[in-house]
This record gives sequence, C-alpha cells and structure tokens, in this order.
Amino acid sequence: MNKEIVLATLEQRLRSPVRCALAAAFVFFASGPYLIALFVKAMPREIQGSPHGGMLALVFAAGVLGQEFSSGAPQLTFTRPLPRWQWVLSRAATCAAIASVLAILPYFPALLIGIPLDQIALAMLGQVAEAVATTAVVAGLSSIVPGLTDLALLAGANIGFGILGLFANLLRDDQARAVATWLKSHIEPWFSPKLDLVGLAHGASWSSHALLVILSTIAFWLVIAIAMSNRKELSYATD
Amino acid sequence: MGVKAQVGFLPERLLFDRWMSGMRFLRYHHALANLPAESRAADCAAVLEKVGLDAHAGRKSLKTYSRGMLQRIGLAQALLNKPRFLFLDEPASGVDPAGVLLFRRLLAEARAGGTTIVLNSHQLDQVERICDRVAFLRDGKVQAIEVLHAGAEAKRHLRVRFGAFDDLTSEALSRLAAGAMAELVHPLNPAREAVFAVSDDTAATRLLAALLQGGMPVVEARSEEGRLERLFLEGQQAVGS
Repeated sequence: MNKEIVLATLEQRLRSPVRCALAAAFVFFASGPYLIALFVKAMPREIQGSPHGGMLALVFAAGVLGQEFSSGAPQLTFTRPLPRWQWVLSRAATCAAIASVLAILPYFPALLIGIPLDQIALAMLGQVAEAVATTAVVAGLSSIVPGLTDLALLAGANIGFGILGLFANLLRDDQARAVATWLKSHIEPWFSPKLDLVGLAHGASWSSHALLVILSTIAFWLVIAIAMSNRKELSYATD
Repeated sequence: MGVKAQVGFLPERLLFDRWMSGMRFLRYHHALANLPAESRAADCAAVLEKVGLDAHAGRKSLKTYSRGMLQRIGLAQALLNKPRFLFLDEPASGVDPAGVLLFRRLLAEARAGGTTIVLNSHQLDQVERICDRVAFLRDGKVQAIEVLHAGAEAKRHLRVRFGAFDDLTSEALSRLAAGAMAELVHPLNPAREAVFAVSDDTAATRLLAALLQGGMPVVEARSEEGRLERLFLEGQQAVGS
C-alpha cells in the first residue's frame, strides 16, 4: 500500500460533487427507516435489508483504474519507483475504505431506537464486506475497460443474470433449468457480492461458504485488476 | 525500481492529474520518487522557481494552466529527483520563446551535471543545439546515428563554394584550414563546395582570409545551419531511392 496514492485517491474521489451527492443520498435513504422510527412508534424496530454498501462502492470505485488509464495519468506515475500492484491495491483499498465508512453510518440511528447491538454490528459487517467485495469487482472490471465503462459492464452482467433467472423459471426441461439455476447462483455472486450476516442474530447457522464466496470474489477481481494493469501499454492515453 | 529512481520523464501529452494544484502535483511526485519528506516543501519550491513558475502559479489548479505552463511543471517534476537519465518527449512543444531558452539552459545545466538526456523531438534545430548524438528513426527502427557536438564545445560549420581553379584540392584546403586553426570536415564535392569547422566568427574570418591568401577562388561562404535537417532529408532521399 502506498500512502501517497491513498491520499491522492481519497482527495480525487471526494472532490467529485456528483459522487458526494450520490453517496449522501444512499446514506440518507439507508438510514431512513431508523430515522423515521425515532419519531414513529409504529415503525418496526429491526435491521432492514439494504443494498447501500454495494451501491456506495459503485459510486466511489467506478472508473477507479479505467478513468486513470483513459486520462493517461499512470504513464507518468509509473515512471516512479512504484510497483503497479501497489498502485492498483492502494486505489482500490481507498475506495473500499470510503464506501465502508459511509456504509456503516446509516446504522448509528439504529442504536437510538433500541435495536440490539449484535444485530447492528452484524449488519455493519455485512455492509462492509459487500462494499469491499463490490469495490474489488469494479476495480477488476475497471482494469479491463476504459473510463466508466465498468459500470456499463456490471449493469450488463446483472441484466444478463436477471434474464438467466427468468429463463430458469420458464424452462420446462429440468436439466436446462438446473443448468440455468446453477449458472446464476454460482456466477452471479462474483458480480454482485452479498453477505447477509443479520440472520445469525436470529439463530441462522453460520455459512462458511458465503464467506468463502466473498473472499474468493475479492481475490479474483484484485488479481484480474493487477494482471490487467501490468499488461497495459502506456504509450499514451488509451482513448 | 532502482533504475526508476534515477529517471526523469516528460511526456509529450501532459495528461496527468489535472485536479491537483501545481505544488500538490510536485509534492505528489516528490513523495512517489521516495525523496526525503523533510526537504519536500523546499525541493518543490526550488524546482518550481527553476522552471519559471511562481508560488501563485503553484497554488493554481493544473486545469487552469496554459500549454506552456504545463510543459514547465512537467519539466519540473522530471527534474525533481535530479535524474541520471532524463527522457523528454517534445519538451518545448507549446512553450513561448523565453520558455524555450529557459528549457535549453536547464537542459544544458542538467547535461553539465552528468545527466544523460534522451530527447525525442521533431524540432531538429533544438535537437542540434542540445544533443551530442542523434538517431533518426523510421518505423521504429534506427536509420542512422549522427554524432554532433552540442553545447559549449559546439563548432560552427562553414560551407564554402569555390570557383574553377586547377590547384583546388581537398588536401590543399585541409592544409590551409589547419593553418587557420579550422578543420576541413567535408571535402570538396563535385559542386566545388567544402565544409569547414570553425569555433566562432573570428575563426571563420581567419579561415576565409587564409583561403584567399592561399589563392583559393572563394565565391561564396555561408554558415551551415540546419545540418540535421539536411542529414534527415539526405536520409529520406536515400530511403526513397
């Protein structure tokens, strides 16, 4: 990890008003149920499922490598004694850190409405895991395509999995349905990582498989990001 | 990584992090170059001043920089680590005349300090003034390497055309030139032209006087400029033929 790259990435990402506005919106809407419960007694006082960890990662990690390669900035950065993997990991880790910090914010109002601390801690942990894993996915995709095309690629993949799920339900042939279901359930988590830990507080059993999927997703995409960045020809901007 | 610590690079197209201020950009590269943090502020201020940018310009965002200012800040970051090898791609592109002179002086200083400069440029007159050796590339392959004599030791070349004369030989010209502390570098060609190397204007006058006193029918003498251009064109013709 390189401190300078971390600081520069932090400054660069937080300078964008669009990113900050989107992040504020996600945090606000995720904390909505708990904020409302502060004033409305009828509101359920339990952890609400929310995709905001992954969404925040999308906001801050979109184009984390691709935009840089498109701008041509790494051409100069890489003339310094800095291994490319450090540049990749530092940038990805910074985005993951920003998304993670913001992802736990919505749960602070939950503390005030009497939701048990263990549930809140598990929800925070789940959101952090999703934020980190989604950052890794976006970093990997961002190393493959220029600019912000990583978002389009991710959207395309999710639409594809949606269609696959639809097919799985519509197919009459059992074998074909089994294949479609298998593909969706095994490949989709590598593009849309999820980790619901709140169930553990309600007696659900611990799934090491879910943790393994998250960790392997992070490792896979970061390896892709490093490998692709190492292969980049940096004659000049890529587009 | 050890080699990179000794390298400075100025790309032709300055597409670096434009959201930074000039000074922030220099501090960023100072840190990336693993230079001591305690001297960061002083080093960056010094190099900024060296390239002719003031503290106000250092505080401005790179987005607001003109092309010439970007070239200057680009050269500043390339010089930050006092590199042993300096790679420059069209360094004077978009720079005002004062900037061109400043660049030339800075490169001469770096060269005198032992830095090896690899300059990529289409501005052959600039190359001629800065470089010792020139390689002509075509389709990524070296077509020719020419040795020049840049900098303080540079000698001017004087092309002299002679009238018809029986005793006009390269040997005779060489002897007369040596007597005038000049050097015949290109012997007579069929057009009865010869090229002499002279150190300065006085030496050129001395050479011409010696040639005339030696009975040589000097018709025309002109300073050889654009030598590289000519070499380049000759090379092009050779490739075309």
